[in-house]
Amino acid sequence: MTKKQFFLVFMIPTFIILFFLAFYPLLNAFYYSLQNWDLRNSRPIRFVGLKNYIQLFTDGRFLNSLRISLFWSVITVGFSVFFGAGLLAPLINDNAKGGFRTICLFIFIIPALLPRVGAAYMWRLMYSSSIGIINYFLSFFRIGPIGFLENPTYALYSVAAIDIWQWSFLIAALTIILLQDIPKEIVEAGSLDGAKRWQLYRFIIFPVIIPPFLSIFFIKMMESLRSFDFIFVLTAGGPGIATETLDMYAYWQGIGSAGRVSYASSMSIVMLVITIVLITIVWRGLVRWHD
Amino acid sequence: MARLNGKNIFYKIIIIIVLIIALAPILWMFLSSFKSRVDIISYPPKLIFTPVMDNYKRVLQMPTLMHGLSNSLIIVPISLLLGFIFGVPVGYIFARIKFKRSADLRFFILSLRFMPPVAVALPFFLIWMRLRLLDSMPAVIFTYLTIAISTMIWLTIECFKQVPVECEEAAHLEGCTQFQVFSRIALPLAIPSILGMCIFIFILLWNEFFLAFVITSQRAVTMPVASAAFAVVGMEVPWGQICASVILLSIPPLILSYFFVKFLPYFFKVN
Repeated sequence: MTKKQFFLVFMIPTFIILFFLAFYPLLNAFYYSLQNWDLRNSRPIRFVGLKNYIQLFTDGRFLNSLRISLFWSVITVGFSVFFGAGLLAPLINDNAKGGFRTICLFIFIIPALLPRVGAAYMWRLMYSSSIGIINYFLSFFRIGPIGFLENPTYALYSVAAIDIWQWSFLIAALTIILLQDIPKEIVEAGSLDGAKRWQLYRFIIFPVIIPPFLSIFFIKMMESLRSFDFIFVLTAGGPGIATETLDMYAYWQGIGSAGRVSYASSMSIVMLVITIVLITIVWRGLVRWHD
Repeated sequence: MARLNGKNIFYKIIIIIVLIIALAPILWMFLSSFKSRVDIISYPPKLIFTPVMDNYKRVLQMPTLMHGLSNSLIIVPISLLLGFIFGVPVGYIFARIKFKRSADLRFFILSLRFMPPVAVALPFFLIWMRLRLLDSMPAVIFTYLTIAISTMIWLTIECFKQVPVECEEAAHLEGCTQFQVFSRIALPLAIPSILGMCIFIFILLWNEFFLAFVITSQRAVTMPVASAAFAVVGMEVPWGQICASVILLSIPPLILSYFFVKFLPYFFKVN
């Protein structure tokens, strides 16, 4: 088998599958989004042009879910990078050595490896306002009981806290591994110059690991779009629409109760466009900022 | 040796507290899974109680959960195997053979992994509905190939790059065909790290919830979907059974996590 034959034999089948998996559903979704298909309504399906898209931007509930999704991404990315890379990684890097360090790393990745449905239940049990252990601890300080998931003011933060819990530890573990590759001389030179510990991190250590760290940051950003599992198990978008993200709303409209397939399709197209635009902007920005 | 002074001990205590925060939800659920109905809803929460196996017994007799478990045990390995067959040789090609549009195709593969789930799930739901394959295992497996193949290619490119080029060049000179170089030299040398990637993809697919939730309802439900069925808001929550089923659901990823630390840096490379 020549190089060329090998190339063709293995590339063609795989890319036929991948192109099909990527483009067929999307083209379908775009096609449906121009129609008025509704599972609950037996009227004949016809083309309505951009009507669904126009309706989206006058739909208060859609705009609400857009706002909640953006807010979710910002706080989960921000806090998990801050806790993980800013606080936990230096803490372990400076104070845990040898076997203890390995144990810490091992424990840190466990929250992220748990099935998100499982993690969601674990926290729902702890958040409970009647039997939850968190409210029990708060009662020592004469606080509560707080309806973490029942109160619209707290619900989104309570769910986001779980995502931050999973990701802070994972980002910390990854940062610690990155820190291990830094040559000792650089750090020692810095400390001889009398730099304080936080200055060492801020000006010497973190700048060295920025390129690999940016890809971690980027991945966390993409993953923050996958909030459905947590929100479905903990609040299902409620109370009211206080935690209804884009995917939750699109699910209710298209697949859940409403069956408005065309309308939900237009939502998934809009989501895709927003994601592509945001990714491009952030990625370009990160690269430029680094240079 | 680290000196044991006050500051040192202070930081050690902080680390212990941090580790407790990382593990507390899992440990609490593990404890609760052995509690009787009365102990679970007692307030203040009980740390000391008589452990019972009732929850596990009941969960192991629930048809939906057992069905979900056996479906997951079929769907995940098959998707992984197909991901391996279609993904690994392509990972090798990207690592070793230069061709036009290589970078563009790589970006396409990466973007597959990062598409918003709803943008993927809804179209798949409609396609499987039209083909009358909604709620069937082939539909789930085929949908999972999006994740399995793209992740497999992305991760194995790095594995093959670690193989010394000299070995492959020597084999070429000996008159080996390209396929022999791949199957007899490159693959055996790279297989330890490729197996690490397989573990990662196994966990990814085992934990996957949203896609399966959308395209299955009864016959083809996976374990996470079956467990999430408890979540109907407003119902009286059967906490004992939830705890037991979540622990069962979490066992495979927890066991595999042991192999995970070593390969961790691989999974977060975006070039």
